[in-house]
Amino acid sequence: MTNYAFSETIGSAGASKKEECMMKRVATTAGSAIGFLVLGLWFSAALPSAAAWAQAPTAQSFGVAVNTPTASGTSPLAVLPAGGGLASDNAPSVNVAGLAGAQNAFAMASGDGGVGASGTPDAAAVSNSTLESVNLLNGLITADGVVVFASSAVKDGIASSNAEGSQLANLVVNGVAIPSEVAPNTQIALPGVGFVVLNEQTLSGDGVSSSGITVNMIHLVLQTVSGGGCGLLGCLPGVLTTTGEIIVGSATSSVQ
Amino acid sequence: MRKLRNLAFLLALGAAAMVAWSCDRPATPVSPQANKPLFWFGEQCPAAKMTGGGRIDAPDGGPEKNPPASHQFQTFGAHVISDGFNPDGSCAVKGSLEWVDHNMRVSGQPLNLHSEAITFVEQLLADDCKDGALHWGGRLVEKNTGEEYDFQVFDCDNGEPGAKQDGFNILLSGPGESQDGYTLSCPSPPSIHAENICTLTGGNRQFHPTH
Repeated sequence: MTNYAFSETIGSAGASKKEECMMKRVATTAGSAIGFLVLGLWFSAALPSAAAWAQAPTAQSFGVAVNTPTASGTSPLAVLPAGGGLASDNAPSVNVAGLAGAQNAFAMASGDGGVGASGTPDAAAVSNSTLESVNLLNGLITADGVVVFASSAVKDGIASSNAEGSQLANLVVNGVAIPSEVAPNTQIALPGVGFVVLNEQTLSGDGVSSSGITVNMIHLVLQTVSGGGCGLLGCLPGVLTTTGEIIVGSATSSVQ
Repeated sequence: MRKLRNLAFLLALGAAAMVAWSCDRPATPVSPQANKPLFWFGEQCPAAKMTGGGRIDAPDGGPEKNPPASHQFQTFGAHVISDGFNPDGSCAVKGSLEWVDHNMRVSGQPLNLHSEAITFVEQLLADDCKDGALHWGGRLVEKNTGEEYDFQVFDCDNGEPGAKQDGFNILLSGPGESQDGYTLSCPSPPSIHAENICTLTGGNRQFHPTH
C-alpha cells in the first residue's frame, strides 16, 4: 500500500486542486502513520521480547564422565529441560574397570526464566552433583567425597555465576593430600599419565545480560608420548598426545 | 453521590480487613511468638514461581560449610510454579523436589526424597527473605524405602548470590513412619534466618513474582 493509492481514492470525486492538495497531505500523513505502525509491528515481531530473552537458562551436571579409546560414558546425568523445571538422576555405584569408580552419585539441574518487576530478564539456573568413595586409575587419585555446584542468575540488569558449595573431601593425588578448598584451576602433573586439573572453572557471559560457569572438580587428562628419544646424533623431544579424559563431579549453569 | 461514597468506603474497609486477615496469622506452630512473629503466611496460591537448588550444612544450618568428610550436608533441587486459582477453586500449582540428605543414612545410602505431587503454595512474608518467599508442599516418596509422606518446604530468596543468603527447610509427616517428623535442625544463629529456616551454603533460590 502506498500514499498515492490513498490520494487517488480520496481525490477521485473531482475535488478542487487546493482540496486535492490538502487531501493528499492528509493521506500522506495517514499513510506514513500506518507505515510506521506496520514497521513498528514488524520490529516488535522481529525482536525478542524481554520474556524471550529471559527464557534461556541452561544447566546440567554429571557424576563421572569417561572418554578413552577403551571406554566412554557418563553417569549419572541431569540436564535441565528446555522449558525450565528440574531434572535429577542418581547411580548407587559407578564403575569403569581400571579407570573410574564412585559410590552414591547424584546429579540435579534446575532453573527457570521470567521477567522481573522492572521488566528486565529474571532467570536462574543451578546444577549440582555429589559422589562418595571416588577412585581413579586404581588409586592414583582418591577422594572420600566430591561436591560440585554451578549457579547462575540474572536480575535487575546484573548477571553472575559462582561455584559456591563445591568441595573435595580427603582428596589424595598421587600420594599427596590436597586441601578441601583447593584453588580454582589447580593443575598437577602426573608423570607417565598426563595431568589433572582440580576445581576447574570456566566462566562465560558479559556480566550484564548473560553469565555462565562450568565447574569440573577433578579433570584428569590422559596423555602419551610418541616419538622422541636419544640416538647417536643426540636427543629428540617426544610428542605429547592426549588420548582421553576422565571428569569427576561436573556442573554447568548459564543464564541470558 | 453519598451512597456511592459510602459504598466505596465499605468496599475499601472490606478489602483492608481481608488483607489484614490474610497476613496476620501469628499463632501457628511455625510462628509461636504471638506478639512478634518472624514471618507470616500471606496470599494463598499466588501467581509466582521459585526455582533453583542448593546445599545446606545441617546441623547447624548456618552459612559456613561443615568439615567435608563429615557428610553433614544436604543437597536439593526444587521448582514450584503457580498460576493462581483454577475456576473450580483449586490451586493451579505444579513443580518438583529432589532432596538428598548425605548425613542421614538408610541402608548405607543417603536419604533420597522425590516429590510425586505438589498440592499447595502460599506466600511467606518474612523480613529476611527480601526478594520473596513461599511455603509449599505436597506428597513425596522416600526412594530408599518406597514410603510416602506429606511434605512442606519453607523457601526463601534473600537476594543474589544465594549462598550464605537464601534459606530452605523441609518437614515430613506421615503416612510413612520411618521419616515421620523429619526436618533439619537450623537454629538462629548460626542460621541467618528465623524459625528453623536453614541458610544455603551453595546454590541459589530465585523467586519470580510473575511469569
